[in-house]
Amino acid sequence: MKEAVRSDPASRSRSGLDVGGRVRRRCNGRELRAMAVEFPDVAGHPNRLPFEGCLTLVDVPSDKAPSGSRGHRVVLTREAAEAAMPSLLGMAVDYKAGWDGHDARQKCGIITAAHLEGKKLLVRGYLFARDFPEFRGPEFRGPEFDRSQLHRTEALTGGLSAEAPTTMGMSYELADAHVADMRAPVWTLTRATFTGAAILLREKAAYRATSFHVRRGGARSAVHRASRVAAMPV
Amino acid sequence: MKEKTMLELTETMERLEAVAEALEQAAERIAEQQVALAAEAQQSVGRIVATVETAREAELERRLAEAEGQIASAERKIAELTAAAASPVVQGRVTLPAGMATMLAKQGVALDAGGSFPSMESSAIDGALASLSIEQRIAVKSELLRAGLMS
Repeated sequence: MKEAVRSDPASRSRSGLDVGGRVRRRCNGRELRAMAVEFPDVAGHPNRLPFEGCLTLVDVPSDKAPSGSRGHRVVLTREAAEAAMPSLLGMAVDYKAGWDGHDARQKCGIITAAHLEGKKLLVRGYLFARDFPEFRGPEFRGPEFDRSQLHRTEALTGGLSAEAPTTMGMSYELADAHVADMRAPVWTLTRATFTGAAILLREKAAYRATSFHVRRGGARSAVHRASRVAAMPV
Repeated sequence: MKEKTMLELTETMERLEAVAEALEQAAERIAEQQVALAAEAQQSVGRIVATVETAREAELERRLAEAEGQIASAERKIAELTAAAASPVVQGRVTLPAGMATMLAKQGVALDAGGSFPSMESSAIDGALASLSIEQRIAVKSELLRAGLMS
């Protein structure tokens, strides 16, 4: 898959993305932060199905102990999440038969954008819809906006509406997670690298507040505009 | 009198200096221990996946551990049998080890008066050893083969 991160000055001024795809602007005393990799627009691409979801929460303890945490619930700090955000872009999303975990060998899509909205780490990307037709099912459909509502919502939230009525959620996979105090009942992760994500039943995720749904308009532009970033208080 | 007082004061000062030095050393050791404990508490975890471990995964892990244990046990037995097979076969009537003889007797394989077994067919042994586990059957038959009691 060929990435096309805009790096020429003209493109940067148009898209707002720097070479790394990071957006940091101040607007009315609020900082806008997002990261994205831009892909060339391919109208009607049969194997690109846009998705969005809430991958995890920051500064909030997980509802259950994640796998690998030796029975401890974990807190991913905002600072750790922000620092790790570049590692998230370009990582794959996978799924497992039964929708109850990760299967790194069943990669069904790619994450192309991420940003923090409040305590939610929201992601967007594409599923390989032709290769994995199971994602065409109704359980993956998000809120049904008409076109005008969709544009208005995207203008307000960066296109990442965190509320999804589906039963599906997401789960991150971290490597080299740095724990502040291994003896603490709840582990605080102060540093980590994202190595992937999974689509699974929300009840099977360590964080129950995650979400996942496919977006309408699979033939829409694949370019994530920098104007579509959420406003986040500093 | 003054000299005695001075001596006592000097001794007291020396003792106090020694105590102060010991305290300083203790404080240094405590500080080092605290640094070590803090470093120990801060560690990296190789992999964390934000999914709840399912009962199925736990069961699979348990079964995997059991299987690995069985494989290790089987490998040990194979090594023993290989070593036993490498030893020279004694021709003629051979007395089996007492443990093996007891096991066979329990399975209804009759002993001779001298505590030895006549040579027998493999198929005849299979029926007698049907209630044993496959590992035990392999061990018994290998022992019989080594002893030249089974063709």
